[in-house]
Amino acid sequence: MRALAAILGLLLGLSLGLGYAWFVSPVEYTDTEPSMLRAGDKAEVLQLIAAAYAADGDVERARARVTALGEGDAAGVVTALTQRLAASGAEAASVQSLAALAAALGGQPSAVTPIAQSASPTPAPTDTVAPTPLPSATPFFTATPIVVPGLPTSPPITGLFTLTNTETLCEAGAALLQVIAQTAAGEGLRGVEVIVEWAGGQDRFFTGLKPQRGVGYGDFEMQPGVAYTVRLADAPDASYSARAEPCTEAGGNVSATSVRFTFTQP
Amino acid sequence: VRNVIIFVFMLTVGAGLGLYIGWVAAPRAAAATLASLRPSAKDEQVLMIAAAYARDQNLSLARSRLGALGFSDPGPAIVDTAQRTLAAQSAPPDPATGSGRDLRFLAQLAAACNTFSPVLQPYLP
Repeated sequence: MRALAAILGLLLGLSLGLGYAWFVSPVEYTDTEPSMLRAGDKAEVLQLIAAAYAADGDVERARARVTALGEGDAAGVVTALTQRLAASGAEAASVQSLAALAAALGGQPSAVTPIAQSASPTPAPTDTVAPTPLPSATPFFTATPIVVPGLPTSPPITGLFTLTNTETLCEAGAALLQVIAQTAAGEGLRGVEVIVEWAGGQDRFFTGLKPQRGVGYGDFEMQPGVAYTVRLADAPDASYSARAEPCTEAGGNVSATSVRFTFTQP
Repeated sequence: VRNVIIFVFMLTVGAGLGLYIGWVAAPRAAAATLASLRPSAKDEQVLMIAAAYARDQNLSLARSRLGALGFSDPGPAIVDTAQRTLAAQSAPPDPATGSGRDLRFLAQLAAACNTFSPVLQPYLP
C-alpha cells in the first residue's frame, strides 16, 4: 500500500510538473537568433527584407539577411514565399518586391548594381493599363512590371497579350507548363502573372523568376495525367489546356511532355 | 496517515522532477518571437523597417513592425539603433551609401515618429 501511494504520488507529481513546465509556463528564450523565429515571423521578415532591398538595392546584404534566417537556399525560399503570397492574393506591392528579390538572388548577383538613392522614397512601379473592353476573344492583361536593378531590363507591359505559339516538348526531367511572355520584337517580359488551375487546385507564378531561362520565362511543374488550364491574370476569359502525357525522349528514355505557351503583346 | 504523508512527499518529489525535466533537461520552448531577438538582430530589423518606410511612406505599417519588435515607443529605439550604427563607423559615413544611407532612412522614420535627435539631425534632408 505504501509503495502504491509512493508510485501514484510520484507519477502524479511528475505529470503536474511536466505539464506546468511544458504547457503553462514553457521556457521563453531571450536574445534569440533570427533562425529560431517561428515560420510566420520568418515570412514577415522575408517581406521586410524584400522591402528593404527595394529601397537600397543591395542584393548581397539582402542575401545575408535571408541566410541569417537559417535558410541556405536564399533564392529558393524567397521564390517559394513569392509564389505562396501570389496564390493567396496578397498585396501586389509585397509580391512584386519579393519577386524582384527572388530574381536578384537567383539571377546574376555579381551583375547587380545598387539603384540610385535619393532622399525621397522611390515610388513603386505603376505601369498599369486601364482595362478596356475586349474587341474579340483576345485576352486583355494588366500587370505591374517587376524592376530588378542590374538584371537585363524588361520592356514595360502595355496591355494586350495574344497566344502566338503552343509547343509540346519531350525533355528529360519534370513535365513543365512553360509560359513565355514577350513583346512583338521577341523581348522577354518579366512580372507577368500566370494562373494555373486543375481539378481541385490553383496556383500562380510569375515570369522572370528564372532569368537564366529568359527574362520572360516562367514555369510550373505538372503531374502526369492531370488536366490543367492556364491563363494570364486579369484575363479570365482566355484559358488554355495543358496535360503532361507520356513520351519518349530522343535518347529513348520515357518521360512526360512539357507544354510551352508563348504570349506576345503587339 | 503514513500513506498520505508518503503520497504527498512523492507528489512533491515528482513535481520537482517534472519541473526539472520540463525547464532544464528537455525544455519545450515557446517559439522565438521578433520581440525576443538579440539586440543586434533587432537593430537590423529597425534598419530594414526604416528602409521600407523610406520607400513606401507607410508609417502605420512601420509602427506596426516596430511594435512587433517590442518597441511600443519607437522613437527611442530608432535613435538607439542610429547611435549604435554611428558608433560602429570609424569616420562620418557618406549619406548616399552604406551606413550613411541607413542613417538617412532612420532619420526619416524618426522624424515621422516625431522624434528628433542631434545624432540624426545631419541626416535629415
